[in-house]
Amino acid sequence: MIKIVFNILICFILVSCTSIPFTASESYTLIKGYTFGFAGDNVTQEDFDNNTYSFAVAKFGRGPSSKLVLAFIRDGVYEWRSSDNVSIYTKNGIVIKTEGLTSDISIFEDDNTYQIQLTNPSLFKTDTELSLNESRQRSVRYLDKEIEVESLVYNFKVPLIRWNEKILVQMHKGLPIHTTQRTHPSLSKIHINYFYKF
Amino acid sequence: MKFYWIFIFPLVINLHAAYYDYVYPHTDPSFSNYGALGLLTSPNARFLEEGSLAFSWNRMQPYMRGSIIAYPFNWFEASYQYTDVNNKLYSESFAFSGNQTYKDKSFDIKLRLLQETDYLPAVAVGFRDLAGTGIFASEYLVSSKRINNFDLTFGIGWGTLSARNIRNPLISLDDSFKTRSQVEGTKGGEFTTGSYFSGPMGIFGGVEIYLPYQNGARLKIEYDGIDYSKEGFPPIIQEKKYNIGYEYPVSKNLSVKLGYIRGNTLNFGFSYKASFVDADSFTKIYDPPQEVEDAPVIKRENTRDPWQFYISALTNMQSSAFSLNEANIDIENKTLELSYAQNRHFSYVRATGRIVSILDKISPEYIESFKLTNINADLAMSEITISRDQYRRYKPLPIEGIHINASNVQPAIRNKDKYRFRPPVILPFYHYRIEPHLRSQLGGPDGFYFGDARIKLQSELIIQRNFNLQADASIGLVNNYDKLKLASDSVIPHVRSDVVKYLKQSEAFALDRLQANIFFNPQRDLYSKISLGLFEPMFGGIGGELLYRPFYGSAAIGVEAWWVKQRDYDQRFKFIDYETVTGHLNLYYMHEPSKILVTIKGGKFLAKDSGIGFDFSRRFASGMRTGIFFTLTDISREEFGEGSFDKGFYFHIPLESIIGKRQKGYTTFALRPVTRDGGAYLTHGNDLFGITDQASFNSIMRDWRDFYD
Repeated sequence: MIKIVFNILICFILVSCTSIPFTASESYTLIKGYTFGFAGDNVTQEDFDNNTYSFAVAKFGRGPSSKLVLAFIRDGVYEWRSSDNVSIYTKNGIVIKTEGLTSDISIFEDDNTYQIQLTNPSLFKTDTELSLNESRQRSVRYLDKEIEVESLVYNFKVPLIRWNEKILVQMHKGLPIHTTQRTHPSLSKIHINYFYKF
Repeated sequence: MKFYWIFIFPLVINLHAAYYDYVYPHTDPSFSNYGALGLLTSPNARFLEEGSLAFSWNRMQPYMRGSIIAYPFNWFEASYQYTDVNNKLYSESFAFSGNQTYKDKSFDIKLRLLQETDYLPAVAVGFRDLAGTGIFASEYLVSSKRINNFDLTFGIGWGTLSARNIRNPLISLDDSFKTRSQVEGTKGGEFTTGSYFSGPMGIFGGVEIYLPYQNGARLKIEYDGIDYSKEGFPPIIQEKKYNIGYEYPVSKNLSVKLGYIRGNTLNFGFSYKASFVDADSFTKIYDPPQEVEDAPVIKRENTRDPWQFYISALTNMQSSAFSLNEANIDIENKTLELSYAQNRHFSYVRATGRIVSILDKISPEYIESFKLTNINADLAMSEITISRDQYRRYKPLPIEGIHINASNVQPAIRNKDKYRFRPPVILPFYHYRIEPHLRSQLGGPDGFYFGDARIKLQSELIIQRNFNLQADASIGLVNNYDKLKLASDSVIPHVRSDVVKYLKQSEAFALDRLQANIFFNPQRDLYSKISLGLFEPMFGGIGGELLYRPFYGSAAIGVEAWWVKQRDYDQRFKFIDYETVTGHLNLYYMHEPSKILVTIKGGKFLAKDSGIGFDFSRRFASGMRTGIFFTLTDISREEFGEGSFDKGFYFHIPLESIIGKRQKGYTTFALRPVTRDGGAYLTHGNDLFGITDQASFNSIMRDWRDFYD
């Protein structure tokens, strides 16, 4: 968001006797989208009914949403895949691996400790701490209805690089329906809403 | 030599770990108070990656400086500096300048001589205020070496960078290096080569210390190499020789800084940089190909009825913003041939790939290949043939890519008769858009920035497929032109220097363009255009252009001739009493290894001066083009006025990089030290070399990686 607004401002200031030829309606749509959210951010019951397979809607920061389809479930790990070959792997709602992003993460267990690997820039097999910090019942809106969820907040730490984050997972009937998590220090937080067809 | 401790100290530190990039993120070099990369007042030997652009702003009493910095190569830095010097009035005559302070515009360049290795530092040579008034003129040789989180810089300088007054060793080569003087009689804007590396020499240096776990924040400590008795307008008091600064990267692109210099002055500023080297490298564009709903059903129907096939191709292409002009099924060769136009994708190859993706989903299985002819302004650009089998085979492995060569990318001839399906187009067709618009005047003597916020109508009436009428008009909302006063002092016809009159007298309403164009493609590789009307805010008339651009070649040649009359300052329909014939022989050469486009235009210019204009530009994968230009004509330096000859640099920035969505077109940003009348070209819409960019095998190969995008 900051980048795009800054670009537009810089170009308005710098452009010498010329115009930025995008229409007023396009500017309005962009600014409105980044401010109040883009069309497609909210999934209605009708959208849900029109989908054949389980899917997730993921959104980095305040950018536009992307849809991912549930491709596989293996050993409790859900693989969500987008049409542009991005894969997000979740376990109990926590993103434990990404593929196809500009910077990817992989969290795995080794000798009962959590380890992390990051790409771009590379970080190999580094100790990680993951602990449940808070759990409470909350009421949220999901598919046009108010539902009760268990809201879990995890502390996530990579001491070596002083990276501390909180991960939010909302569970409903044993299934995660929402995750907010930063998957890489150089990326914005990702917000994922999950929709199940089973 | 107490300051040497700053070079020795970091050697005792040794950090080598895989997590280094996380402890010290955002370690790109940062900008100095003089615009280009460096410490506080000193330059360094660092460069940003090629295809980067940056803007830097800094307040350092008595200077307030805005800089635009470009990196056409990773070994070349070019920057434009606009400096408000507030310890000097603009003119010796108070009646002329009032309280207006002195404004200085200058160009700096830096070239890398040696790349940094494990043991050797990077070495660069640079020139400050290369062709300006010379109040910041200096040359330097500088080295930089990164050791862990310390980036050390040491250099020697001439001109204003000669604080320690060391004897210039070049004097032993030639006595002319002994003294340094401004060339007499210069109007500024000239290359004063006789004074380069002359006079006493000085040293400068320092260190940039990256702070751990601070998101790339760094401290800068330097020994100040500026001789303030030679810079700007003395006196500038220097109490300490050491400067210190702190820079914090707010994001990957934006940095803010604070410094304390000369032992008595605080400075602050910010910089913003952007990389345009790769497609989507600056703004990620989420634009997946549109799905075709019920594709299997459509394909089944299309197999039964060829006419239905044409119509579904038309509608499905239309929903992805492609306009199908004509189509034909070549039964014998099992090929679907079609011609199309599009105005959405900056990359022609991406457009081709998207169309093949749609056609593959809806075409009957007996179709084995697609032959696509790209049309622009009713001129045939190229013909690309894609094997359907190959397309499918390589689609899961887009990195490997579909094989392409001269046999399936060919020049096209516009021949509508060969197509069976020619959907009728209702003509004339009118389309328009209304948008916010800003007219800007940057870096003038009256102030750094003057702007005029307007609402603009851009419209086009397509009368025939090859005949259009462009009409652009705007109304003003708000501006700060009241302080814009400086009148032209030009002694040759005022073809450009009356810009203030044009801006002020068209504040309320301006008819920016009313231009009719007719295009012809008489034979392969030959394109022509005739235009009539109000071409630009300052000139209208009649003329034409002819371009020969061999499809497989790297060179092109064109000729253009125009009779034009100068428009009245209110930018409506009236003209003033100045008319001329202008025209040029245009040569274009694309040097493929360096990706540099050389354009040479020789002929008669708007102010009736004759000469040759040179333009060197480079295009990056994102579509951003950066270039420099200069024009030499038969008018004298005195007739030309300040600047001595026309020169400057420019960027074409693709709109999609700015707004984050696919959109054809770009916005141009051009900078000249001064707006003068010599060497001025007519600006007319739809120049043939630009609109035939896609009529080139090299242009298609350049973008081929976008095929599966």
